[in-house]
Formats: sequence, structure tokens, C-alpha cells
Amino acid sequence: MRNRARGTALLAGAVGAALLLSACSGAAAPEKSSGGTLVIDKSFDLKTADPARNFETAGNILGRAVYDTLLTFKNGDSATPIAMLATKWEGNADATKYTFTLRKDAKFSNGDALTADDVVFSLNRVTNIKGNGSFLMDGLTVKKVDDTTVEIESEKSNTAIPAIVTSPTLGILDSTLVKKNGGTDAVGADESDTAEKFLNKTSAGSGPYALKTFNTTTETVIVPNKYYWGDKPKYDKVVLRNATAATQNQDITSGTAQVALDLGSDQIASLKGNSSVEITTAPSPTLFFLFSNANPAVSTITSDPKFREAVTYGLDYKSLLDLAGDGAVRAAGVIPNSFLGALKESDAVVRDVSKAKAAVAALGSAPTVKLEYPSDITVSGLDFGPIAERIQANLKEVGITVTLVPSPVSTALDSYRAGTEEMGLWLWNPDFPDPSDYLVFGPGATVGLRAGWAAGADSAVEDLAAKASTTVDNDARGALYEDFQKDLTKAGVFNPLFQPSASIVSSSTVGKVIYSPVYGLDIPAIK
Amino acid sequence: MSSPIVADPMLVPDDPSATPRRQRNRWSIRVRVPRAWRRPLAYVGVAIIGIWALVAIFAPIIAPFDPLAQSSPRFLAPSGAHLFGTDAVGRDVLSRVIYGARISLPIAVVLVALSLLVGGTIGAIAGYVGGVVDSVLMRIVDLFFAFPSIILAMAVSAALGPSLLNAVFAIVAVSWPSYARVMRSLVLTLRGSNFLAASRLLGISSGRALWREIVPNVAGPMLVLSTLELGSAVLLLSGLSFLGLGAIPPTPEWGAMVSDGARVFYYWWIAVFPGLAIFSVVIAFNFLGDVLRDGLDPRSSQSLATTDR
Amino acid sequence: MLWRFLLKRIGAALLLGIGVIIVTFALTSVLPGDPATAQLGDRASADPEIVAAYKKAHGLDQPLYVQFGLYVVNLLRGDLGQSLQSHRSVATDLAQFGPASAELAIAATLLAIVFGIGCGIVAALRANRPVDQALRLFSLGGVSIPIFWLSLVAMFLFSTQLRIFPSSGRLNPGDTPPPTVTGLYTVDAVLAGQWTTFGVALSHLILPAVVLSAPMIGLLLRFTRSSILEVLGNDYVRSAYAKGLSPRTIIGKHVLRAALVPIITVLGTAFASLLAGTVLVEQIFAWPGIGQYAFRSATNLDLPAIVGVTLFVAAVFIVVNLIVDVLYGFVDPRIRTS
Repeated sequence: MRNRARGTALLAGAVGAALLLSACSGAAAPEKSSGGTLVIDKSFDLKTADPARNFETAGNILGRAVYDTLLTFKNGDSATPIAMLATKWEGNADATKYTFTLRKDAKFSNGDALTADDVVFSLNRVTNIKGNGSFLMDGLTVKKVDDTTVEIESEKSNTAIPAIVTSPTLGILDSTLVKKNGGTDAVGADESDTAEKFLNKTSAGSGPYALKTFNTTTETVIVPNKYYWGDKPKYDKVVLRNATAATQNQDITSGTAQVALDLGSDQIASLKGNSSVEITTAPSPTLFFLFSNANPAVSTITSDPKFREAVTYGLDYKSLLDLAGDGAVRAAGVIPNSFLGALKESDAVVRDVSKAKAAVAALGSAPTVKLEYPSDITVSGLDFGPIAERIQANLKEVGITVTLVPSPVSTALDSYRAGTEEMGLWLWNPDFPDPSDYLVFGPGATVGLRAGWAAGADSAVEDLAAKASTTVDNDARGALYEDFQKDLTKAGVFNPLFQPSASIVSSSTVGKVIYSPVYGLDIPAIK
Repeated sequence: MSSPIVADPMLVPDDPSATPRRQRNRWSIRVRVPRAWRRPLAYVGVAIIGIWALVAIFAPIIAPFDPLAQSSPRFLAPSGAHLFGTDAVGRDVLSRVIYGARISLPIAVVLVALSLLVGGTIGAIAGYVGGVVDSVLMRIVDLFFAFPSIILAMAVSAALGPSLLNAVFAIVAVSWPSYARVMRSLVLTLRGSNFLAASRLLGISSGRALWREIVPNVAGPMLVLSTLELGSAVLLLSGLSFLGLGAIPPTPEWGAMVSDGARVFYYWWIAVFPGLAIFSVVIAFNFLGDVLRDGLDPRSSQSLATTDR
Repeated sequence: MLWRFLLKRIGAALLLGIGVIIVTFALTSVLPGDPATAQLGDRASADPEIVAAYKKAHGLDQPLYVQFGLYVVNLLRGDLGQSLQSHRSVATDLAQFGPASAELAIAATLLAIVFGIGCGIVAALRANRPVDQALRLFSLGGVSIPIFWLSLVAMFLFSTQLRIFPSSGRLNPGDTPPPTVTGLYTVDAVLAGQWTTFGVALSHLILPAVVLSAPMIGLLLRFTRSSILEVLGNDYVRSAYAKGLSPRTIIGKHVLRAALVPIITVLGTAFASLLAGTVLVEQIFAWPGIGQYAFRSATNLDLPAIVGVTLFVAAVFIVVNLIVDVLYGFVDPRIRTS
């Protein structure tokens, strides 16, 4: 080529090299948390920064850091509530009234002082806004006694109230500020309250952090609340970043993020020898379960008790537990092992292939059933696909042919909630840390109906459930819940499989981070 | 839309100077040797497809393991027993890649055949009948071209549930317009040609004229288009499966396997080998398509590349 | 004459736009799956009161033609509805994600033009020699390689192993984007004089842009090569040589200009393949753009978002093709009269 052309080419090359260099320098040094910024990777189910409308995991993590609740749990615990905004609390004899004494020094992030009015406003707003988490306030009413005392009353005996008030959905907001920006706690708030837009930009909480930027798809940033009443928060900036498990793995090893919440057991296994990361593993209270539809209108096969017996004894629980990875525990019953009333592992069903085969033989013809599950969500690093495939393989060994029907979660949820799935593989996250939440697995209750188990189908179980929910004494009700679960196992509509492990991988600069079964991640507790 | 000149850039002859014309300038070599012989790549393409076809047919014999058996330890690196390693649930990757050929190849053929049928028919009608029918049909084709087909394919698959059948349906729905356009331009060219007029003068009905005159003449170019589109079909199918909207587990479809491997991509063998399989098949189809197109009669290959508007 | 041509084309484009709206709406209405229950939580969807309230708030309880009518009316006012997922207006979502994809698309197109056309010229000039053979092989490879696989390989090599480029996002976590002028972080950073931010944004942009450009490079290379070869064979070029003009002038002025016209056309077609590639690349590189948005909306049955994205993308296609048509009409008078 000619000289000028060559010169042009050289110039282009030089410009390109310069660009590349500037790009590399920008990328080279991975972000380290200099005590300044903490980056947390999570796969987002974030919808809103308005606590009253939030009932998702990512929202809970955010809420825990930005909004205070009446009571809370010590990081890692899910059995005993401790003080937060309420320094003292007392319940009456039959658990229909709880009185909370508020602390006097709590301040919101704009300097306003927190009073009982704010508590009443916030809790009423949750009831009337008819959001995903509003059911927590079902049957409860809140009353101001004086500026530093509130009362929560319940129609029926409700021993779970101290546990319920720890939920980030019941975070306390600055009523003056929220009302000024379109918020209301009156009846009809589901239509008249317009404060969400405001709350998605500016938080109105008294927690250690305040909202800086909010985005449901990329990242959300929080910064310290300078009026916070408790220990000064450690970081100048905390970034909650939306990332898939694959990206999270990449980030934590390169130092781009300091905490990763959704790594799978296979990914963690590969990090075992890595000295730059710390791994914490604990069983999460999430329950993976399989169900066979008890409604004969949906399926004559699965509604046959013999089929359910075949499935119960045909599943290879050990191999399914293997799939769930290190730190997962076998679920002997539907109540997670960290809660009151949980069954012991020795109570769990043991696989009995011959018994299962006999039950299949008693059915007459070789059963073929469809198993539906969500194909696109990952929980605790687990995909439903491999679990469903293994169930399919297990049941094939006893003579049941399972056809897999994966669907994206929104489509799958439809048929699940309508109760039309022949067999379903799903999970249940506790709404609040109390065994009474698990009565939803009874006939005629929320999850029971999804499995086609209508009210009146098993009166023994239903009576037991009713008794357990009104018993106040912890020991007595613990035993009742154990019996409830044993009856569920006999009925066989639900097969509890396992509780996956919740792992948090953190960089060694941050140290070990404890898993919170209640909040997912307790940001203020990260030191 | 109304891309005035080019229907598909891949259809443009690779080296127009090699068509039988006069001597060119010093920038291109003109040798009177049949083009196919000068393209060893052609042989490579045919060979690759031939091998994959054999692999697909003889899969049960060749594959060392059952592609669905979760029998080995998970995440084994490629080694003697498992040449391509094992995946997240302990299945042999080599066996799954082999069986994957039984899915990707036949389905690609089905996709192209269906798109050809639908698109070709519509294009032929538009070109032959002309007038209002032509305008309306071409407006519909334009609509489909403007439509972001991938979004449609995703939504259809997402709502109907992932399955190979739904993926096929979604892909055909967005692929047929290319065939319609090309067919229409071919028919238009032929319609104005002398031999067709001669047939009509001889008293042959238009139906028979269509069959006897047009079909043999469009067969060549449409075959070329189909072969080239086979590559796109494989890519589209594996792309949808990668997104989770095509093949359902435990089907060993290559795109789905790459997706599995993406999660744990430091266990690189789970994603790399299926990806290479896809690549080899697509490039082989493209080699083959190239050769077929270059072997065409230059006049029809020219009209293949141009669309009259 | 020219104006009539322009008007005809614009009219056709508008008709097309209306067609897209109708088809999109019709299709989304037949999709199974109730978006209401998809968005509500487990407990909430079990409560019929809450479901009813939700449906009322989002207009999901009206018959379909009413919904369509409302949609068109709002559309004319610039309101694309509210995304069920993000609780923001779809227009806001598109305004946030659009520029991200635009940055990626523009970078990829620039790369494709420079390398595709540049290498195409080289290939044409060295026709049938080893350089040409290699380039043609390369172009065939670019068109044949599965883009999702290429992304993973590139990411593995350059991000994980070599640590040269970051693997996700547009900026490092917690970084503040430059003040918005165009929405393209690289451009905005330069305009604001923030050179570090520019470097960071560029480093995040390179890998996905290169991967996305691969099929386009392949296509352009091949097409440029054949266009130039075609033109080189023409009589007027031979006579230019006979006149004694230097090869550089011939190539620079005549050949390139003539070959440029069909190249413009093929860019329009190549643009179509860009969107499919964008969906995959954005997913893998966690690039918060339209592709990711479209995928999320489709799988979550976020109907307003699906319709909004489809319309937006279709509009972009139609406009791009319109520009190509008009440019082509300008340059080649034969087309105008058809």
C-alpha cells in the first residue's frame, strides 16, 4: 500500500491502542471494600422500596437495613425475638393482646423523632394497602396507648405476634413525611395511597442506612443514616447488585463484590480451597416439597391413596438430598428444623422400594403422571430442573412414569395456585418464624387447596390443626405440631424433601458473614 | 422491509467475476476450471455434515453412556472414561453431544421444510397472481420483517411453555418471510420469461405451466436458500433453548447444554463441546450452501440476489 | 418526484407501524397465563379481594377491545402503560434501557463497519490469494458461530482467566454514571470530561460489543468483497485503467462509491440480526438493555412491557429501513420510479 495509507493505518492503530489502554486501566484494579463501599450480589426479586408493599427476599434485605421494626432477631437466630424499637413487650394470658414500650431516642433519616403515631400509621397502612404482605396483619389491630406505648390486639389467640412484628414489611415509617408525599393508612389505601413513588426515591425509615438510589434491575445503593440511634454503620456505601449466579461467582473471585448470596453448591464446592473467600453454610428454612393432587377431578391416578403411598416410599430421599448439596438437611416434616415443633430426622420416611412397587401394583395399570415445576427460578442456588429429573428417575424405578412439564414461573404459578397441577414440585418460605405458618399445608388451607386437598377431606388433621393454633403453651403446641406433621406424612399428599442450605460467600476482607434465616442477610451486622 | 436490492446477502455470489464472462482485470484470477473443484472447503462441509448424520443415525451404538443416566460423579474433567467430562448431575457429556445430533439435525430440517412450504407457497402465489393479492401478501411479509421476531418467539415459548414443538412453531412463524420474498422474486422473473409465454401459447393450462416450468426453475435457488437457512435454523433453535425456551430437560439439546454449562463455566467442558458441535454443523451447512450457490446457473443466481420492487 | 417517493415510503412505514400495534396486541391477548397472579405473592393471590383490587388497578378486568382502545389512546399521548414488573411506566423503562442497548449496538456496528468493510476491501483486492481465503473463512466463521457460545468463551478467556476486562454491567458496582446527555456512558463521560469513568465504561463495553459484532463483520466482509469484485469487473473501471488513473484513485473514488450503495442496504438487513444477538449477549454480560428487558418481560408475561418493547424495536427497524430506502432512493434514481 502507499505511504499515506500506511500512515493512516498506523494512526488508527495508535488511537485504538490508546483506547484499549485506557479501558484496561479502568478495569484492572478490582474494587476493594476500603471500609468505604460494600458490594453485595443477589439475584433480584426486588419490586419496591415501600416496605408495606414488599414481601420479597431482596426487599427484606433492603428493608432490614433501612427500616426498623418493633422487635427483631439477633443475627442468625429465628427462635427468640429481641428488642429493637420496642424495649419492653408483654402479652396477656391468652395471647390476644401484646403491649410494646417504645424507645425514646429513635430518629428517622431526616431527623424527625419516632413516636407511637408512626407505629400505628405504619401498621394500619400495611393492613389497608392490600399488598403482598398485608396478610401478616390479618385479624390484628394496633392502638396507640400513649406517645411511647402501643398495643396490638388479636381476635383469636395469636402467639406468633412477637415473631410477626419482626417482618420488614412491618417496618416503621415516618408518618409525617409519608403523608406529605401521598401516603395514607386509612381504609381504601390500596387505591388512594401514592407514596410508593416517593419511597422508591427517598426512604423514610429509622434504620442504620437510608436509600440513595433504587433500581429493581441493576443495583440499589444505601448510605448511612446520620441520625441513627444505634451503633454507627460501618460502610459509607452499600451496593445491592442484581446478578445471576454465574456472574456472582465471577464477581466474588475477582473482588468486584464482597458478598455473594446465591451461589449454588456446585459453585461453592469449587471455591473450597480458595483463601480469598469465606464460606458460611446453614440450612435455610425454605422447604422443597412434592405434592400429588388429591382432587379426583384433576387426576384419578394421583388422588388414589395407593399412588401417594407409592410416591412416598418410592422417592430416593438420600439422592435428592445429595443434589441439594452440602449443608442441606432432610425435611422430616413440613416445619423447618430451626422452628418450634419440627420433627427429628429419625421421624423421616425411609425409602422402601418393594413397598412402593406393591402400591403401584395395587393401582392396576401402570401410572403415567405429569410433574409441573418452574423452570426459570433459582433458589439457594438450586434449579428445579435437576431435582425434577431425579424424581422422574426415582419414580421410574418403582414403575411410575413421570412426564416433566417445566414452565416459566409466571405460567407455572397459575396452574399451581389454581390447584390444577397433577403433581407439583414447589417450595414454601416461612411468612414469619413460627410453626403456625405451616398450617397452610392442611386440607382446605392455602397450600392444601393447591394440592387439591379440600376442606373436609381429612377431619382428623383439620381438628389437630385447629387445636394447635389456639394452644398458647409452647411445649404443648410443639407436640401438637409434631403430631400434625406425622398425620400429614400418613396422608401422603405432600412429600417434604429437603431444606436447601443457604450459603453466603464473602471475601476475606469482610470476614465470615452469618446467614439470617429471617432476613436473608443482616447488612448492619456485617463488620 | 422494502430492501430494494438484496433479499439475503448470503445469496450474493461469492465471486461474481468467476461467472462465465470476459477476462477480468488484474485483481481477480480467471481460470477455466469448474468452481466446485477449486473449493476444497466444499468437501469439508459435506464431510462434516455426513459425519454428523452418521453420528445421529448410529448414536445408540457410538455413545459410550446413556445420555440421560445420572450415574457418574458430577463435574468430572475430560479424561479417559469420559472424553468430554460429566455435567452437573453426572451425565456423560460426550454421549449427550452425540445424541444432541438426533435433535438438532432433524429439527433443523423440519424447520426449513415447513418455512419453505409456508413461505414458498405464499411467495409463489404473490408472484404468480400479482396485483392486489401480491400487494397484500407482501405487506404482510413486510410486517413480519419489521416485527422483532425474537421477542415474539420468546413470548410464545414463554406462554405456551418450553418445548421443542413450541420452539419449532415459534421459529417457523418468524422464518417463512425470507422464503416468501425470494420465491416471489424468482416467480416474477420467470413469469416474464419467454419460455413461459411459449408454454401458454402452446395451450398448456396455468396450473400445469406452474408445475412444469416454474418449479424446476425455482428448485435450484430455493435449494440453495434452504441449505443456507439450515444453519440459521440450528442457531435459532439452540439460541431459544439456551434461553430456556426450547428443549426441556433432560433432552440433550446442544443449546440447552451450553446454558447448563454457563452457570459453572469454569467447568468449561460442559458448555464448550456442545457449542463446538453447533458451530461445526452451522459452518458446514454454510460451506455447502456456498458451493451449491456457486454451482447455480448465473442468471438464476443473479435473480436470487435481487428483488424487483 | 423525490417528495412523492419519500411520502410513499413514510406512508408505508406508518401503515406498518399500525399493523405492528394491532398484531402485537392480538398476540399478547391470546397468550395463556394470568399476569395478575404472576405478579402477586403466594398469599396475596389466594385472597380474591386482593386479586380483584390488583386487576382493577391495572385495567385487566376490562374486555379486550376496551383495553386495546385505551392503549391506542394512551399511545397517542405518549403513555405506554405501566410495567407490571418494575411499577414504573414502560416509557421510563425504555428510556433507561434503550440507551444501553444503543451504546452496544452502535459500538458493534462501528466495529463491523471498520473491520467488515475494511477486511472486505482487502479480501477483494487480494482475491483468491491466501489472505482472501483466510478472510473468507473468517467471515463464514463469524456468521456461523453461536453468539451465546462466543460470549461465554470470550468471557471465560478475557475476564476469568486473563482478567483484562470485567465481565458484567456497564460500570463497576456503585459507580455513579456520568451526567446524562445521550444516555451512552462512554459519550457522556467524554462530554463531561470524566476520563476515569470513560475508561471504566469503555472497558465494560469492549467485550460485549466485539462479540455482538462478529456475525455482522462476517456478513459485511463477504458482501463488501463481492460488491467490490462486481464493480471491479465493470466496463467503466476498465476504461478508467485504460485512461491511466492510479489504482488508488480508482478504488477510492469509483469503486468504493459504487460498492457503498449495496453495502448500506445490507447494513439494514444486518441490523435485524442485531436484536436477536443483543438478547443473548445482554443476558450473558448482564448488560441492562432492551434485550434483557425484553427477555424478562416475555418470561414474566409483563404484557404492557412486551407490547412496549415490541413497538419500540419495530419502530427502530422501520425507521432504519426507511432511512436505508431513502438513502438508496437518493443514490439510485431507478428505484425512485418503481
